[in-house]
Amino acid sequence: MLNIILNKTKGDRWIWLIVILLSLWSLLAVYSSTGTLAYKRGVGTETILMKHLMFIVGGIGLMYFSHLLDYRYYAGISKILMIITIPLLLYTLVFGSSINEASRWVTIPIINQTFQTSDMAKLALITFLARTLTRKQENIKDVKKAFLPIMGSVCAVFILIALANLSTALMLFGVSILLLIIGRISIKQISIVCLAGLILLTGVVFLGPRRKTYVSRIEAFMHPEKADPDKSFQANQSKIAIATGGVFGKGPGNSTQRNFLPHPYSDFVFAVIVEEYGLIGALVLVSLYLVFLWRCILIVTRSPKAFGALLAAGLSFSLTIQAFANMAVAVGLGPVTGVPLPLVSMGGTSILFTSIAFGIILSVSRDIDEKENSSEKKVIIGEIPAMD
Amino acid sequence: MNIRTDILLRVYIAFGLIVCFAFAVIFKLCTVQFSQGKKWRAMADSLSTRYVNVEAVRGNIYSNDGSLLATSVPEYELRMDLLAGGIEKDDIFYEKVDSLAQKMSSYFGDKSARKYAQMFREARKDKERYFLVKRKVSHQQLTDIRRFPIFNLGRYKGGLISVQMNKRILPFRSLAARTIGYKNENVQPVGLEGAYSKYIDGESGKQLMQRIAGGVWQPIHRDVEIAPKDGADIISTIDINMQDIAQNALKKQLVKSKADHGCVILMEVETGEIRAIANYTLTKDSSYVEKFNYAIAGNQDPGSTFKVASYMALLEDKKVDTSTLVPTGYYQIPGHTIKDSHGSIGVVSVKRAFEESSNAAVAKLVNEAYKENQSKFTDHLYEWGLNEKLGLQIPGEASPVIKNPENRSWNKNMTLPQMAYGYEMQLTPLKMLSFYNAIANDGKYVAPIFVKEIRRLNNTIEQFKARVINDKICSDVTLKKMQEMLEGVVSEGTGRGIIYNPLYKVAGKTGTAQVADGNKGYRAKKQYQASFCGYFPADNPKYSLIVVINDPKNGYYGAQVAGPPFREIADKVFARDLSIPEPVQADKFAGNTIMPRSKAGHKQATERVYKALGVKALFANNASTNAIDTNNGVYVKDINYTEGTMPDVSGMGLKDALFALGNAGLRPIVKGSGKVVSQSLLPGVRVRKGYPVVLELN
Repeated sequence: MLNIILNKTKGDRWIWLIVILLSLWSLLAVYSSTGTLAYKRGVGTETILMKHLMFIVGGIGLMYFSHLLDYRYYAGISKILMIITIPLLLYTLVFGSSINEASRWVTIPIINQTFQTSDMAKLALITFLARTLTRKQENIKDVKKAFLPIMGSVCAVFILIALANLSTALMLFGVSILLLIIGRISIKQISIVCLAGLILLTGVVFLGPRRKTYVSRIEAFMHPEKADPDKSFQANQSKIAIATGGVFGKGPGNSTQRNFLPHPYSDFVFAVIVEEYGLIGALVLVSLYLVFLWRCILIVTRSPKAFGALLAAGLSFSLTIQAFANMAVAVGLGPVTGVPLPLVSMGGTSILFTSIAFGIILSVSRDIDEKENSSEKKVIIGEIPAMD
Repeated sequence: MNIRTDILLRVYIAFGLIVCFAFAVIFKLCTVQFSQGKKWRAMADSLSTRYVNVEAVRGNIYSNDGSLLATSVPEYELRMDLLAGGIEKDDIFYEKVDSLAQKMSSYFGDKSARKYAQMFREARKDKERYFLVKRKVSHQQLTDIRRFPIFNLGRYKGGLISVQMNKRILPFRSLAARTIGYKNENVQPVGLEGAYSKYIDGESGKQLMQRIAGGVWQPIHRDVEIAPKDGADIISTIDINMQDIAQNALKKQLVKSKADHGCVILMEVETGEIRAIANYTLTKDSSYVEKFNYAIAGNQDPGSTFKVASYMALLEDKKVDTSTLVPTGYYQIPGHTIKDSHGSIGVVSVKRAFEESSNAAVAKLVNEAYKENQSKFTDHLYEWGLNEKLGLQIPGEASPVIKNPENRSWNKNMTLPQMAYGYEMQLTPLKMLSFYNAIANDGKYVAPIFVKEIRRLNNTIEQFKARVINDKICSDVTLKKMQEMLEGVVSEGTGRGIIYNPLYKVAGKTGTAQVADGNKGYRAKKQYQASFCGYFPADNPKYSLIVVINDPKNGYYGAQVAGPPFREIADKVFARDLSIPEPVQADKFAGNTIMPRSKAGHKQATERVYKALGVKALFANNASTNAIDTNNGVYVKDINYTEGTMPDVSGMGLKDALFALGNAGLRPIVKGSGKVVSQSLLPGVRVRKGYPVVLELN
């Protein structure tokens, strides 16, 4: 059985291992921390756990199928995704369900499942950038041909997400810039993109619908002593969780701060993990993401094609930056924002799209492995006559 | 540098930056854990979950006859989460908020629909998650409100939060309210509620609550961690019907005499159980309310009712006999002349002097008998425990004051004769009554009780019997004489005109005391306390009763003021108590041509009564009958009732009439009391269900 699974799954084994470990850990952490949510919804914790488990299993399924698909198809898919994403983001902004005045969700009509469009936009933009950068690699300095679609897509996605979810938009913007740097876009052009982003950002912060939220959150972060105790509540609760966790933690399922932390199963799942598994747990978790990133960079190094390399780099950086951003919020390194911890936090769309991202990376890795294997074979075939 | 290495270099640098980021996270984490750890851990303690008491259901208080005197009913505080799941979206909320406001307004009628709508809208704007909508909502109201728009979205979606509070109610309202008492926060507890709170309260449970964003505490688990233990039930000795009689009679007299306050205590002779206890005080708005328990805390000079003790001492020491002659009218002591308020009745027997309540006579007799050995008189009083508290089950009993010659305030010329007729002492009405009760109880002196049993889940956990203070307060001979003298008061003396009832014998004594007004003493504005204390039926005493009325405005003599309520209560209690009168001889009615009347009503019930009385009556085969007495016997007419028509209820008592109308599905409106003399619809008229029918009773 295990052999069948191992034979069927291809791509980097380390990454697969990390996926499995993170998923298991996610089940434990989510099960432990959804008591309050279960109480509010009037259902059992097990109901929520089962739903989460189904998403994880579904995610791994998606990962499996997307890793089987030749990654070159993603270039085409990215274009279609991009075309779908922009109107969808617009739709979300106008008709989406709002939580705390932020329109982030749309409900898919038939299956009645809420859907966070920014998760899809993230995937779309990164694959699209990888594709565009690859295509323009030869005439990279040609402003008109190469630059306009890049800048246009980055800015459009940024502003559309930013109006509802600034932190996600900023992170995506950062990853895009990183991808542009890796993709050898000139400093001048990157500066132009950055400038455009900055202008949009200013607009959103001072004129956007959620301006008050930003001001209060940033003020609370800059001047903790001045902050309204209720506003800094989340940040403080998170720090209490981390401080009481100690080096070895309170043990799985023993968190008490889960009852105080808002969204202990998603935004503040890291705090709960530190509380339950201690500093040791945090180090292991950080290492898992770092090892994942390192394995991805090896893929980038080994990738014979620029598209594969840029795709792997863009997606892996996006995932790890998101992971560390989530942790940074939990430890108080950044202002409170709702960024899920990839593959660990509860949340349907986040898990599914993260899984697809992993799948794409694995697809690149699988392709490299197969190419290397076949080239090795060729070498062997070629060498045998030479020995005669 | 080729493209490939260029890209790779950039990737490595980015990786390096991410590693730095990871280290920063870990570093910050360590800072929080180690250098700031103390601060956060301390905060954890203060913010952490807390246990909140879950109120136990308080026990009930029952009357002797099983009626519910005090009970707890749930009452709710309505709160609303304006951001609940179902109304998060503006369109849903604003679409329905006006109809909710409309419903609330028409249901409660306390605010206009506009006011309600404005209130909800503002709360919504402020994003209130625990908004107080209304206090003191009953369970029924809550059930109705749950069907209103928005709230009908469901428990969590609609945002309706009901916080249960237990409210104490007295189903009989003011009946025995003071004795039942209350126990509120920050107020000295009163009455049975206060005295037995240890049992009634039960033990509160505990529930772990957590603080959630917005400063709201919510339970962590659905079930409570420590379930509350419900309180025990108290079975009091109060009989709700007797209490009603006593309270009404007292109030009637207080209103009539415009008195300042008054009290009534009815006690069962043998058991010492208090059947009724009523206290009324005149308030500024000229109404009478129960606000002070004079019966147990109103310490005053008892006046003439105390003469019982004086004569008892004299008889016990054989200083006098009932036939000893004694002058009345006035008695001179150094510095003071004791006068009889009705003037002299000449030289009469001790019995007559007692019956006519001569102060001069008793003062003279006691003074002359105990002049040389004054403490002998007070020793008797002490021996009877008159100087001691009764040790009641409810708090607030006043300490009696009976002087003795060693006291500094003892005046060796004046105190003894004045004590003889009930001055220079402090006794509560209940104390006085208990003493009379002992006489009625063949000398057995018991402390009255208010509670006879404590039950939990209908299992007795404690039972109370009256404490015997003194098994025999005096010899049987003295007792007999005292009883005769007390009967004489009613049959011959001061109680004659008002208390005397030929149907049964009452024994008792009037009392008229001039009340000392605080520091001003007896010389200030003249205030009187009229009282009557006694027991009935005198032949075989069942109840002892005292009526005390303070500062009456039209006339102040005991018989005149306290007599009528005494008579009324005694009569009614006597009439109601089936164990007192001799059983009716059934053969008295047999063959009697004039049949006892019966109200129209249920056949079987009527039949049973007639049968018990030995009356042969002919009944037809119908469930309801209309019995009309004639000179020749009972004429019984069937009431024919067909579904959907108005039944004939004329001649029925209210109970049967309501039953008949209820079965017919009609809505009765009742006027008056007694038998039904007219009904607004003729019998047999077709009528739809729920139609109102006016019944006049007389």
